[in-house]
Amino acid sequence: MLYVANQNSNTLSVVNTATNAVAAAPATSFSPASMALSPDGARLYVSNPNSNQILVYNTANNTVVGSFAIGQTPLGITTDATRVYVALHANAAVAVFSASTLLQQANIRVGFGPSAIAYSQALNRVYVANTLSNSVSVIDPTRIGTSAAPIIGSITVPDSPVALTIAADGRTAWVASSARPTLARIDLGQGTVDARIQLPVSPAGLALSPDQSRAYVTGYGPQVAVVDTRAESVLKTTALPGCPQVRCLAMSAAVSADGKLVYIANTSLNQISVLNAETNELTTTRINVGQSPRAVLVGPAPRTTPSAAEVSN
Amino acid sequence: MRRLALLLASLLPLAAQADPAAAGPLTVATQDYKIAAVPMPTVAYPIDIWGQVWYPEDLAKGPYPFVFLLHGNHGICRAPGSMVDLGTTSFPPNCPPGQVQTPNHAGYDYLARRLASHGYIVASMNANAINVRANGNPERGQVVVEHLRYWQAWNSPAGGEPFGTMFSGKVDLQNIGLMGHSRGGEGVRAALEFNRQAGRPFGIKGIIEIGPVDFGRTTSPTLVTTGNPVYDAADTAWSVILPSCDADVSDNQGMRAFDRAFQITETAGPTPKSQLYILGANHNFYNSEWTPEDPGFSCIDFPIITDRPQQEAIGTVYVNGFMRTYLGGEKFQYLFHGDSDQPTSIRTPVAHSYAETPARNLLIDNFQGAFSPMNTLLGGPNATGNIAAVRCIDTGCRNPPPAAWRHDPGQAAVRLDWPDGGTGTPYYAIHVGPDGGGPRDVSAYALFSFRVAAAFDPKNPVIESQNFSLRMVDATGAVSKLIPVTNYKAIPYPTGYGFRRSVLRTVRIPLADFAGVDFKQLTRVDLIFDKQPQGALFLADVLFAPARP
Repeated sequence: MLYVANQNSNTLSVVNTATNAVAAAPATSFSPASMALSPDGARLYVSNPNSNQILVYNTANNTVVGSFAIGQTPLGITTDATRVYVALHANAAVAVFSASTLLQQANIRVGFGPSAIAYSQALNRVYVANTLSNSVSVIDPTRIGTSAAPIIGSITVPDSPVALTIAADGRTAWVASSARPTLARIDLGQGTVDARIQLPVSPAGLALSPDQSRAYVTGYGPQVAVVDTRAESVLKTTALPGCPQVRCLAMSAAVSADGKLVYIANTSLNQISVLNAETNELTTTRINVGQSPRAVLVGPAPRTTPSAAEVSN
Repeated sequence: MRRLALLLASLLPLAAQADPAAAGPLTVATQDYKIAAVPMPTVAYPIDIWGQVWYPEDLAKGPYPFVFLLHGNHGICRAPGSMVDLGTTSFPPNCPPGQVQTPNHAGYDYLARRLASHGYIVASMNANAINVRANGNPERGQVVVEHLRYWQAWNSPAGGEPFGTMFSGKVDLQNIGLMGHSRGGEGVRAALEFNRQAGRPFGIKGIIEIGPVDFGRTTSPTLVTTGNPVYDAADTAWSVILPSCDADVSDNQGMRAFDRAFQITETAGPTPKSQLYILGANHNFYNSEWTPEDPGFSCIDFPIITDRPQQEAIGTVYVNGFMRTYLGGEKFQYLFHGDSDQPTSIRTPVAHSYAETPARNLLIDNFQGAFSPMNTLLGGPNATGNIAAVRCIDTGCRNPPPAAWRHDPGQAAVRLDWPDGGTGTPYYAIHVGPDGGGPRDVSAYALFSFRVAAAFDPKNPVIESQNFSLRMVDATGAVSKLIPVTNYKAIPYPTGYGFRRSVLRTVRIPLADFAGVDFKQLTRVDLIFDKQPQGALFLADVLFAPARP
C-alpha cells in the first residue's frame, strides 16, 4: 500500500500499489504533514500541524483508533518498537509517546525548527533535522525516563536541512538542505558529515533506494533528481508535469520495497507520479489523490482480509 | 500640564526639514493577488501567497525598487463590514461561518500608496495563516522569501499568473526594502537571514521595523512559546520605530535588536542602524486595519497620540524616508541619525539612537569588561567623585524592581547615582587612553558618542530633562569648555504603557564642539554632574565615531 497525506483536503489517500487505485480516503485532522508506520505496519501515525494533533490509524481498515494532542506544530514523526517520536517544529522539541498507551513520556529540547526525524534500529538512535539551527540532534532512547540527558550529540548540517532519511543498514543518514540545495551524507557511527553533493533541485523531499545506491530528491520545478550516492553525483534530473502556478512543487517521494518504483508527490497537481527506478524515466502512471499531497509512505503489501483482532481495534 | 507642555515644546523640532511624506509625481495603481493554500517545505502548514501591490501606473519607466511590507500578529476574522476582529479561530486561516478574513496587509495603504507615487513597487503580504499561533516568526520570514521568489517569477520574461507579464522586467529585486510591524519585524529580520543562507539571491538593502518583537532574545516570563534563533540585521541598513506607549509589545523588544547592532560582525558597510523612540505613539495606529486601539490605550505621564492620521504621518515619514534614503539614494539620513531637527509633520518628540558599522568606531567602553566601570575596555583608568558608579547587565540593571530596564540581555551599562554622600561636584571621568594613563589620538574621528537613559528613580526630575556637562582634557592639561548634554539630547524621566521603560538614546557631539584640546593626544572625557543636585542615569556604549556618511 501507498499512503499519501493530502495537506489541503485533510485526507489520506490509501493507494493499492497493485492496481494504482485509491482504495480508501480516510479523513485526517487539519493539514496532515507527515506519517510513520509502527514497525509491524499495523499502525499509521499522522501529524496534523494545523490542529496540533497526532492521529493513529489501524492500517487493516484505515480507521482512526487513537489520537493525542501535542505541542506546537507537529511535523516529522517516527517510531521504534515501543515509542512514537514527533518533531514539534515551533517548540524546538521532540515529544515522545508510548505506542501502547499514547501517553507522553518525554519532551526533549532539540534545535530550532525540528522538521524531519528518523530512527536507526541498528544504532538505536533517533535523528532530528533542525531546519532553523542547521543541525541534526541525536537522541539516545535508552536515556528517556532516566536522569541522563537524552540528547547525546549534535551534527552540523548547514543550509536549512529539511529532509532526512536513514539507509536500510541504519548506519548512514542522508540530509537534504534547501537554502543552498545540497545533499549531505552523515556517517552515523562517527557523527560527521563525510560527503556533500550539490543538487540541481531546490529540495523538499528525499527517499533512498533499499540498497542506498540511489537517492531521489524532489523539489521545486517540480523536479526529481536521481543521485548516484556512491559516485556522489547527480545522475539525472527529471521534470514532472507542471502546474498552472509559477512555483510548482513535488514535496516528497517514497521507494517501493523492491526498489523498482519511486512514488513522487506532485503536490501542485494533486497527483502521484511514478518513476521507473531502473530507467530513471517517468512512467505514464499518474495517480490522482487529494489536494496538495505532502507526504508519501510505502506500507506493507495489500492484505485482502483483515484479521478479527485488527477489525476489533 | 503647563510644565508638561513646556517640556514638549523643548523637545519638539525647531526648524523645518525636507519631508519625505509629501506625495510624489506618479499616478499609482493597486491590485490584490492570492494563491491559496500553498505548501512549503520549510513551513509545516499551507500558506496563502496573498498580498496587495501598489505600483506606478506607468510601469514602462521601470524597473522600480521593491518594498515589501509584513504585518504582525492580529485577529484574522471579522463580521462583514466590521472593523472589529474576533481574535482567533481554531484552525487558521479558516474563519467561522458568517465571518470574513481580516485584510491585515491592507492597513499600510496610507504609506504604500505615497511611496509608490515616488517610483517604488510596494507589496504588502497577508500572514493570516501564521497568525493566532504562538510565535511563527521564522515562518513569517520563510514566507517573505517565498513571496520574493514569486515576484522573481512575475518579474521574469515569462511572467506568471495572476499578473501575466505586466511586471516582467519592472521589479528591481536587487534593490529591496523590507518593513515589518510587530511580529512582522522579527519576521523580516528572519527573512534577511534566510536570504543570506541562500547566497543572497535578493538584494535586501534595508529593513525598517515598527514595534517589533524579538522572541529570539525574549526574557518575558509570560511568553508561551519556545522562542526562535536570534535574528540580527547584519549587512543592511536598519531602523526600528519604538512606540513609547506600545501596549502590545510593551517592553519595546525591538530595542534589543538595536543593542546588538553594536556587536554584530558585518562584511558590508557602512550599514547604518538607528532606533526611533516615538514619544506618545502606540502600537496599533500604524496599521489602519488594527482596531480598536491598543488595550489600555494609555501612557504614564505622557499624552498618548489619539489621532490616527497624526501617527500615520509618523509611519509615512520614517518608512518612506527610510526606503527613499537607503534604496532610492535620496538625502533623508537626518531622519535616522537625529543630529538635526525632524520634519514638521512629526508633531511629537523622537529620541534617536544611531550606530554605524562597529568596525568604523573607536569603542572606548561598553561596560562589558571585568574591571568596568573603573577601567575602560582599552585599559584606561577612570575616576569618580561623589558618585556611585556600578556596572550592570540584564536584570542587574533592574534595581529596584520593577524598574524599567528591558534592553538586550547582553547589553551592559554603568549606572551613575549622585550625590554619593559627599559634598563635591559629582563626576565620572572616562580615560580614553591605554592602561597606565597615556593619551590617545582620536583626531581621525568626527563625533563623540554615547548612549544614556534616565533611571526610574525619584532622584531624577519628573517633568524636565535630566542634565549634566561634558568636557575633554588632553595630555598637556588643556581643557575644553563645559557643554550641557541637553544642548544635544533631552534625557526625560521614563514613560511607557503599564510600566516605565529606560530606553537608551544616543548623544552624538561633534568633536569640534570641544575646541581647545589637542585631539591627537586626548586623555579624558569628564562627565560633570553640575546641572541637577541629584540623579540616576544609565550610560552605555561610549565611543568615537567617524563623520556620518
